[in-house]
Amino acid sequence: MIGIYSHGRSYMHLLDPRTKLALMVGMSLLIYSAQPTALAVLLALILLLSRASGLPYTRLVQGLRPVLVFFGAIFLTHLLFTPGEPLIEGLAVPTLEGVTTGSVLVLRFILLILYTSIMTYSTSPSGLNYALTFFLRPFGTFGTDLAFMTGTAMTLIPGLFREKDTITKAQAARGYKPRGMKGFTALVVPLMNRSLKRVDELSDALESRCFHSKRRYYYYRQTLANRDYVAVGIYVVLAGVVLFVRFEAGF
Amino acid sequence: MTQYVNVKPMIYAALFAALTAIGAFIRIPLPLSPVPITLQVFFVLLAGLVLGARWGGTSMVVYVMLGVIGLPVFSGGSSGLGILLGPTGGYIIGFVAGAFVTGLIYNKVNDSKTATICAMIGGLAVIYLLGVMQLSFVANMTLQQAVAVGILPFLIGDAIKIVAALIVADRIRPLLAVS
Repeated sequence: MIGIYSHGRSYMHLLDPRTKLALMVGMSLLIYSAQPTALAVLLALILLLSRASGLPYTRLVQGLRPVLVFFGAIFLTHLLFTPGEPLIEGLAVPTLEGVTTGSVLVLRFILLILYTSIMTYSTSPSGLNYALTFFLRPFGTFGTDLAFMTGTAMTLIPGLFREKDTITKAQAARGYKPRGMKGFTALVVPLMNRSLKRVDELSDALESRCFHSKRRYYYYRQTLANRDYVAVGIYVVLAGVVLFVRFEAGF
Repeated sequence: MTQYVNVKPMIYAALFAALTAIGAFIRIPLPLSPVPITLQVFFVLLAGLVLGARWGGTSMVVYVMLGVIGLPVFSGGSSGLGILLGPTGGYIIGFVAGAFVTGLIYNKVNDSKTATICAMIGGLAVIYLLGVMQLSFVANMTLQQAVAVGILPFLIGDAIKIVAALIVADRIRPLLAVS
């Protein structure tokens, strides 16, 4: 399985995917509304959850690597363009205010990614797909169709990677170096050609077996257990404390 | 008939979602620039051109779902709801609107090259618009700052992608017409 998910039997793994998806959205809102003190508490909680779900810290922070440069750019922008008390005598920037606003923002983004990494580590893609379908039920058949398409796309990805490797290796064997616009079309046109042929066969096979929209594709069933209510309860208490700290205590 | 047999567009939408997903991993070096371009935005625009507004947009919704359920399909191999709600999430949501708008404009105009380019520029503009809006809102930046961080570094690469999408779309459409 590609992605961060890993099978396990921890408390986090056993939670219902729907609970986890709802908590993911809830926690994201909480992280965005948290003040520095509350952020420190949330960071501690995230490290605790990571330990509880069996996710090693090295793999936890791996999710940050792709976005680090962009976060750095955001931090720099705030560092250089926030007016306030200068840190260095004689220079207008960087300011103390710039450092605080920049680091609080970036810390929020980092927490957001760390938290969702734990959730996707402990929930299988099919489980989360089911949860998404569940919450899309108000949209009628669109939700089930979407789940079907997502499942299909999931199974197509490894095949596409193989096709891409086959094409690039065949071209390399003939001494071709992909470069610029020519390299673009030289890869994409055969890739599209081959993958379209494959999905045409797939859709023919589905159609000839009378497969159609407006039916249930997923037979994954799970019922909410006590631990789900406990998790939601913990979240509600946590949210109460964070919001209280923000709006009443003010630090 | 048409009410039920709609497997083919659904499968095509799934294919374009998967292509956009692997597009983040295909890097092609450019002659002059040190940064290789990835094919992600290219497949978004192509989905709009080839599948049209409705199914192009749907395919990008599927792509977003793939990322949310934890496959490393967002740019750089990241994934999860955190990316979607973070500073760069606007671009990903913009993919849905971008493919939709590209398909919409393309279906409205005649089949000339200029019209196709206009459709793709429209789609790209929508991606940038949503991306910058979320960036400035979430990261607490002014619009000028968000544009400097979120648009200017990517302009040249995206211009190349538009030309490439134009060439590829012309060569792919016959394959779809036969099927």
